Amino acid sequence: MAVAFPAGIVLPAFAAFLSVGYLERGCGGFNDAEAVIRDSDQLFYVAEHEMSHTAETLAYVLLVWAAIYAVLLISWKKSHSTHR
Amino acid sequence: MSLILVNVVQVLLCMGLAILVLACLEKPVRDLLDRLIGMPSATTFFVRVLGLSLLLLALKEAVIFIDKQDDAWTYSFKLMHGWADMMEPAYAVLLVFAGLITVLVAVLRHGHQSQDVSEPMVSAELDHHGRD
Repeated sequence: MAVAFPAGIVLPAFAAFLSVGYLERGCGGFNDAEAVIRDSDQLFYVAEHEMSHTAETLAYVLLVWAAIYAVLLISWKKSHSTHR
Repeated sequence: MSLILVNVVQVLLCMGLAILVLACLEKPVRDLLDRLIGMPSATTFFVRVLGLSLLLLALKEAVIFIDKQDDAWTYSFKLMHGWADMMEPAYAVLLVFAGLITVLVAVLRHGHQSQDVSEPMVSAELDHHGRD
C-alpha cells in the first residue's frame, strides 16, 4: 500500500498529461523558431489543455482512492468487531 | 492586460464556488465521520479528498484559453460557460462522496447500534454482580 498509493496518484496524472498530444492539435508544423512564435496561441492552448486534463484526472483518482480506503476501513472495522 | 484580468476573474469564480461548497460541507462531514469512524486520521483523509477533488475540478475549468481577438462579449460568455462547466463535475463529485458516506453510514452504523445496545446490558450486569 505504501508504494501503491503514490504510484496510483502519480501514474494516472502523468498518463493524463501525456495523453494530450501536440501533433494532434495542430502543433506539428513548427519547423523554425518564427513559426513557434507566430502560432504560440496554439501552444498555449495545448499546454492549458494538458493542465486541465491532469487536474481532472487527479480529482477522479482521489475519489477512487477514497472509495478503496472506505472499503478497507469497513472490512477492518468488521474484522475488528468480530474479534471482540 | 484584459486577458490576465479575465483569467483572474475565472480563477476567482471557480475557486470561490469550490471553497463555498467546501465551507458549507466541511464541518458536518467532519462531525459525521468522527462519530461514525472514530479515527481522526481517516476523517481528515476523507474531508481532504472532498476538498482537493472540488478544488482540482475548479482548477480544471479555471484554466481557459482566450483568444486575443475575442471581444468583451466573448470574454464574458467564456467566463460563464467555464463556470457552468465546472458545476457538472462538482455535482458528480458531491454525488459520489454522498454515496460513499451513505455506504459508510449504512455499514458502520449497525456496529455502533449493537455497541450502544450492548453497553447498557454490560453495565446492568455489572450492577447486578455488584449487588450480589
